[in-house]
Parts: sequence; structure tokens; C-alpha cells
Amino acid sequence: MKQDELIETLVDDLRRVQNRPRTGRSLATFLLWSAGSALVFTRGGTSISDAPGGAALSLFVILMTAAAAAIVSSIPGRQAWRVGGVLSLVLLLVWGGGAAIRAVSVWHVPFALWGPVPWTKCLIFTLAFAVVPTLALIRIVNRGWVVQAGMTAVLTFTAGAAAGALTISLECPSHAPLHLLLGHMLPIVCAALIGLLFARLLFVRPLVPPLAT
Amino acid sequence: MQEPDFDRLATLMRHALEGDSRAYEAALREIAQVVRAYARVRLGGTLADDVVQETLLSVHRARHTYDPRRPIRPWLLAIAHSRVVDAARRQRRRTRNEEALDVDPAGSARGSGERSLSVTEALSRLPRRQRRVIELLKLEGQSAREVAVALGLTVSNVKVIAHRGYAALRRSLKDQT
Repeated sequence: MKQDELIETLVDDLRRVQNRPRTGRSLATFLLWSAGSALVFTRGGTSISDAPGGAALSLFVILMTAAAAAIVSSIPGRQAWRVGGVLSLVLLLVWGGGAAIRAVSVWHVPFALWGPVPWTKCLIFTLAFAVVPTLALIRIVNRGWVVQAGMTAVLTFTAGAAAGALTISLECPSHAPLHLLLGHMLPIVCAALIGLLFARLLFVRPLVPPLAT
Repeated sequence: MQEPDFDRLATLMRHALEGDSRAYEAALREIAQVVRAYARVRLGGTLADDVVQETLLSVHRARHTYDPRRPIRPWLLAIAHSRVVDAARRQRRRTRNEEALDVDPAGSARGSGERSLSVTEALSRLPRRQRRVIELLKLEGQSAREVAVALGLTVSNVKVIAHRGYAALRRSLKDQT
């Protein structure tokens, strides 16, 4: 198709479009979906008093920064998402690093290292709890126009998995460092890699010219 | 070349978003100029036209993300840049595939310096439509669906044409060995 024809077709296809929702509103929508899914899956019963507060707080900050960065990254030309993106990934590393240092210090005490709950259970539940928030965020992000599919996917899946890990960390009584690393942090890393794998499929839309009228 | 007037472009785009089709047409023409210059600097002239068309389509699809209160330049160049990156990636893949497909490496010439037929040459002897389908599928790495959209065919039609093209290509290469 020649350029002039294309411009004519695009002009013919011009109609009022609904602007994408504001970033704050999109973020609030994502938080509502995450909270709703947490309440449904845990049947409203979380043992917050037993929860490791530091881990939950770290996860909440990771969730917020990654989700905000993913949403902003779907607006072409906005660079602010890079700050949020880097911050969320650094926080994830710091949190994991802290758990790894604690693991070294209690290496010789198996109970203190692994905790009372099997880490595989937490890993599976974290991934399961991440499904709804991740799908919600994919939908929210796709209301914009993604120009860097890889990073957007990593941030989207990190935020979704952080929501799952946060739900689990409110339920799970274990503060053991290796349990936190393998049961709560590993699924976030896995989710981010899965996101990277499916980035183009999820966020790159084929450029089909509108049908000429 | 005249420096692009992004303020004027922003005004045109704002009117376009309010439904003014003349302003939209003018905006798209200005965008085409800006993007052509940008793509030429980064990719050279051959791919610039593809990038311009893809950027125009992307701008059309992404126009709901343009915020008139913000400058238009970063918005437009971010979209153009992503199309430039895609085009460069496609070009690299195409070059790599052509190199891999070429069965006529230097030094393997037969007899008295006669050049053996390369896949590229065999491809050039195919009917136009078969050649185009195979180029898009195998050299540019597009999916059958993308090729169907680009050439205005159905997906099954693309597959049939590709199948016939491969058979003709095989025959052509076999005749030479």
C-alpha cells in the first residue's frame, strides 16, 4: 500500500477514541483485582499476626513499583517507568540478598534454615495466586500501546507474582530464609522469565491496516 | 531539511483527536516526514519507507495514548524508534537467513568457474506471488497470518502457495545438482 493510500485509509478510519485510563486509576484497578483474588483464594482468612512484616512490606513495595512501571511503560515516550522498573527489580534483589545472608548465618540449623512449612507448597500457591492479578494487569497494560514488550512483560509478571507472594506471605507462618527464597521469591523470578518468554505474544499487536471504506 | 515544527504537529494532533479529519491528514503527513528523516539516519534509505508506513499505522492505533498536555516529540519518537528497532531486527534476520540459505559459498564453484545456482537465484525464478510468500515466511520470519494480512490472502491460501513454491524450489535446485 502506498503512503498516500495509507494516510487516506487512516483518515477515513478516524473516529473518537476513548483515552486510556489515568495511571492512578489503572493502578487502583490492579490493586482491587489483587485484593479481590487474595480474599477469594484465602477465603478471607489470613493470619496476618503471624506474617513476617518486613517481607510483606517489601513485597507490597515491589508490587506497587512494578505495577506502576508496567502501566506507565504502555504510554509511548514516558520515561518515568524506567525508574520504577529498576527500583522494583533492585528491591527484589535486596530482599532476596537479605534472605540469602540470613540463610548463611543459620546454615547449620536445618529447622531455622527451612522452617516448618514445605517451600514447594508456597511456590505452587504463589504462582496460583499470581494468575488473576497478572491477567488483570496484562489487560490494563494492553489498554495503552507497549513499545518495549520485553521489559513491560517482566514488570507485569513481577507485579502479578508479587501480588501472589504477598497473599502467601500473609498466610505463611515461616520466616526461614531458604523458605522465603525458594517458596516466595523464586516464583517471582520464574514469573518474570515466563513474561519475557511471552512478551511479544502478549504485548505486540500485528499492524493491520484498517479496512478501506 | 527544514526543522520539524512539533508545536504545529501537537496542535494538529489535538484537533485530530477531536475528530477533525483534515487536521489528522496534515498531522500524518508531517509525521511521515519526521519519521522518514529519523529512519534514514538510523537505517538508511531502503528501509525508511517501511518504517514510515508502520509508524503511521502505530500512531493511528496508539493515538488514544497521546496526551495533548504533554509534548508530542517523545511520544512520536518512542513509537518511531520501536518501529526502527523492529525493522533493523527483521533486516538482520533476513540477512542471516539469506546467508544460511545460500548454497553457493565461495570456492565451491563447479567446473570451469561456473557458478552453481543459489537458492536466491532459484527463488527469483519463481512466480511473483510464490516468491513473495516464501520471502515473507522464510526470510523475514513472518507468520502465515501476518503474510496473509500483508498480501490480502487467506491463511490457507498462503500455506498452499508456500507449499507449491517449496516444491518448485526443490525441483529447481535438484535440476542443478
